[in-house]
Amino acid sequence: MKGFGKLLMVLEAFFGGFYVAVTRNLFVPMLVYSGYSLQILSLVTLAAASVSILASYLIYRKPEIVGFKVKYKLLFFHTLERFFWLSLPLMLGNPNLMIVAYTIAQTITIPVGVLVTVAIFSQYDEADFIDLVVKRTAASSSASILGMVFSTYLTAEFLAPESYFIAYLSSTLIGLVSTAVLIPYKIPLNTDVQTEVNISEEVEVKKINTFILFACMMVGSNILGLAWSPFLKSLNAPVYIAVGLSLAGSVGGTVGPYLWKGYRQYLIAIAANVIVTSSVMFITLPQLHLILSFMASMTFIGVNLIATSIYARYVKVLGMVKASMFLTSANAFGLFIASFITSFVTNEPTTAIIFSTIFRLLALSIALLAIPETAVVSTPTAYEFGRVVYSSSVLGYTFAVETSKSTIKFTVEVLALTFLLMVLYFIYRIAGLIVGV
Amino acid sequence: MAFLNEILAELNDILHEVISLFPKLALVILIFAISLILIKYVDKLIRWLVKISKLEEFVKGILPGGLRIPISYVFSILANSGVLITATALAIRIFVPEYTQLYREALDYLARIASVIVISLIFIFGLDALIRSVKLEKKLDSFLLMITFLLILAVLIDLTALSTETKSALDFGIAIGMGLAIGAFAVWLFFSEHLTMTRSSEAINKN
Repeated sequence: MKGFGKLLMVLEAFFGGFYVAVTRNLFVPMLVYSGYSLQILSLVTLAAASVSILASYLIYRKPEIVGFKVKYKLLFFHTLERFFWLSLPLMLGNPNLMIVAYTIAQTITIPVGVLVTVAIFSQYDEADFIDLVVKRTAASSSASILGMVFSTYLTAEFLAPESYFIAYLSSTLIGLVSTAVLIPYKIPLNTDVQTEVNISEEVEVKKINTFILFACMMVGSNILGLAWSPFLKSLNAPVYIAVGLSLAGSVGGTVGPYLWKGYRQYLIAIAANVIVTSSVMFITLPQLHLILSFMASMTFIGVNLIATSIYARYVKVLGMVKASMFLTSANAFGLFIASFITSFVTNEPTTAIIFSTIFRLLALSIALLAIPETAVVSTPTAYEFGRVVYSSSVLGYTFAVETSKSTIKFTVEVLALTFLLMVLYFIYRIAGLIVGV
Repeated sequence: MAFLNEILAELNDILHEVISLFPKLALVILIFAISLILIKYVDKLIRWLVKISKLEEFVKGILPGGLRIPISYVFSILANSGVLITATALAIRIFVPEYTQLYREALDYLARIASVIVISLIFIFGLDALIRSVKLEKKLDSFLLMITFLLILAVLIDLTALSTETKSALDFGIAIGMGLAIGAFAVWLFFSEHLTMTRSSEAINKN
């Protein structure tokens, strides 16, 4: 039965991978070729990332939102996500609607991600979970190769916007197959949404530090994703190289999961990833970038596996929802910081790649020093380093939350006052109109 | 009999007039009914917005003890007056459209009265807040009350039906009076101690 469940989950990742590859990879070119400026693009991703973080925070604070009737919720959000992504090509004419629709579509991926992880956690232990993650990543990457070939063929064969409609509609239908695959998958009606009452300091520190490590890698990955194509353009690389980056990345993603086994190798993968990222800006031969993209994806899986292993180990203490939340929200967090950096700090590709390298170096340092499983220093020293990283991040988090809270409170107050004055103005404007003053 | 017929005809005319007025009357009643419902909800909305915007706390932060009347009440009065003005204007337009101009003029005069009331309220509340925040002594309190009264008197003159010359003469008089009062008060405030000391030293020398 466990084998059947694994098969269903791998099939879900396969069909879902195809749908994700088409809808996500076509999204930015679709906007660019429909005349959207870089500023609107950044706004679109920034808005989506901000709301996704809020959604993550909400689920983290109230895990019971996704904790009950998991299967129904999973099927509902899984289907809803596909329909919202399908609606995006219809919003092309209206940028404001596009921001709203994309934000909703991107936000729904958070509960979907959490619910899928909860569904796996509820059935499998640590070893099976990692095994399943490896297989799902490979299946998803191989399907995304097909997805990319499919979307490239469609955009070459049909004119826009028909090609977008065909691509989104057909990938949604395949995406719905992945939803249908989940119907026979067995999930308990209620899951363990326990809040961490008796969590030890060791687990608390590890939980936060693993998230920081994962999030730093995600920031680096998202920045690189945004800056790589413009960098290739500055090298006068032909367009097929830019298109081929994703394809090479997908091939790397298919091979990667089977290469790394055990914490030591995961660490080597992260170190190799840092070297690959930093070498992007030094290699001027465009064709070599395809190999870099292949290697970047192949090594990136290392951090994914570290985070998965650690959260899978502590899932009983953290609760399934919170453990899933940490794994899912790291990408939203990474996308938010990456969009922020590329929107407001720099839009120069080389500087952006430097930022990406810095974030990945930071992640590598955390893995080398502050996470006992991967640390090169002795375990007590790693705990000490871990505590330092933990306390600085918690301090930063508290400051950020408090500042955001007071800013939001003040904004609401000002909005209420403005609305109050608007009501009065409206009443007297109507009175003036009728009296004829 | 002719007299009776005449009365009946008159009664008939009046009845016709009343019947023809009925739709207008119904419409006006409807307008006022809607206005009253609207006032109820606008009132709730305003109270909620004032609560959310924390305007009361903001005013209390500036003026110790806050205003004598709640701010939500002030905003409610303003909004309700607006709704009532609109409803009345609509009623006049339906019933007696020829009086629209007269209503406009009446409103103009009402606006002047309202502005005098508002200015007077600002003077009174301003003085009240000043006395509470600075904790002035009794004499100063009475002096400020007198100045407030003179200021209110000055704006009230504008509402009277007196000639322009008389109004300006009265305003001029009040202004001179206020100036002299403030001057005398300033002399007392800054030099009272010195004058008292001089007088007492003179008295000692005489003795």
